[in-house]
Order: sequence, then C-alpha cells, then structure tokens
Amino acid sequence: MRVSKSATTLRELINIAITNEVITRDEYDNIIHIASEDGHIDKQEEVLLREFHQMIHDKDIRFKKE
Amino acid sequence: MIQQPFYLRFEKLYISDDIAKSLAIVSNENGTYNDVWFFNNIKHTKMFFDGTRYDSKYKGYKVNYLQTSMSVTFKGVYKMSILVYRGNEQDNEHGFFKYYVGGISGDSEMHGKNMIRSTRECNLNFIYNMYPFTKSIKNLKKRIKETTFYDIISNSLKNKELLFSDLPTNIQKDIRKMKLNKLINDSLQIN
Repeated sequence: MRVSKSATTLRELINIAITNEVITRDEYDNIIHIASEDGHIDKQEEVLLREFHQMIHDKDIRFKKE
Repeated sequence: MIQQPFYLRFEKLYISDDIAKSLAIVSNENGTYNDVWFFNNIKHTKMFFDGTRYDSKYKGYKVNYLQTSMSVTFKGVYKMSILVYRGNEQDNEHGFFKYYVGGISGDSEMHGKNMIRSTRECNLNFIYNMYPFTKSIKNLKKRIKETTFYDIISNSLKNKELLFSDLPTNIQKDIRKMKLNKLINDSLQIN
C-alpha cells in the first residue's frame, strides 16, 4: 500500500510547521482542509493529524499571533 | 557545527542531504560508486565494502568530487575513509543533487568483516564528533549495529538517558519529522 497524495502533502506542510515552529490560522485551516477534502481521513492522515495536534499541545509548534 | 543527523543501520550509511552538502568540497573527478536513492529526503546507500566501488555498472559515471574523508583506525591496523560525492544529476522533483557515498581502504586486507567493523568504528567516531551528547548514551557502540540513529535517540529519550530539551534544536526538529515518517510507515504496515 502506498502513501496517499494528501498524506504526503500533509506531511510536507507539517514538516514546514516543525521547521518554522509557528503556524498561522490559515495554514492550520489548510492542513485540516487537505486532510478532509476527499470526504474521509485515512489512517496515514489520522496519525499525522494526531501527532500534529500533539506538537501544538506540547508547544513545539505555536500559533502565530495575529 | 553541523547538526543534521545521519543514520546507521548495520551495513548501511544513511546520510541527510544537508549533511552531505555541509561536508562536501567541490572538485572534479570520475567515480564509480553505488547508486543512491531517496527516502523521505534522506538519501541512503549500501556501503561500498561489498566491492561495488568497482562495479562496472557504474563505471565511468561522472561525479563531482564533493566530499572528503574521515579516517579511523581499527585495532591499529585498518584505516578507511568515508567519502561523499555529489553527482551531476539533479533530482528535479526534490531539487537535490544525488549524492554518492564511497570509501577508501587504507589496507588491501581491508574487506569483509574487517571493513564492516571499521566502518562501524568510523561511523561511531563521526557521530561522537558531530553529536557530543551521544556520548552519554549507554552501549551506543553495540546498539548502533542493530538500529537507526533515530531509534537510538528515541529510545534514549524514553529511557531518560537523554533529555529532549538538551538536544540541539535542529536535531529536535529532525526527530519530529522522522517520527512523522515512522508513523506513516507503521500505519502502512498495519493496513
């Protein structure tokens, strides 16, 4: 089984957020949109989103102040 | 200081693009080295001790001599250098040059298990030099034979041999990114 295109895109966007350590609301919304735009969240997207939210919770990635 | 990690798994050397670039010194030379492929932006290659340095398949393949050497002495007898070369080809998809990892033996007897052992010694010295914090990991020399640099660091964090907060920022970020890759791979296997 191959990694889905949306999961690959998702990982790249999260990697950018990891590098920058900050994320804007628009970028966050875009990540959620990409994960859910095909109507379902597959296993890869699920684990990526879970880890992404954990990093936000741990403040490894912070929301950019408007 | 170069802080991008490289990764080891038994007979393979895993080296990140950044570290290859950082290590590289440009000049021109022909080379006949292993192929390198991408794995989530980390290029890795089988090491050269199986003789593929002379593999006719790659004979005449031009590479730019980019990188240099580190030497290690194994039991005072064997010496080797690890070389990283930048190929002429650019991977348009990733925007990176291909890199080639090669080695030079300082001794004609340097082959087989001796080469493997020496390679490990060389890798280990390299890791210690690049990442002094790894000196606090117990049995690193033994464990590096069996697992990846990422796994060693992760397990050391779990075992509280290392504190995540003490790691250089770039390594923390790399570990987070590698964890994403690992999660995806694990989820694929479950499916």
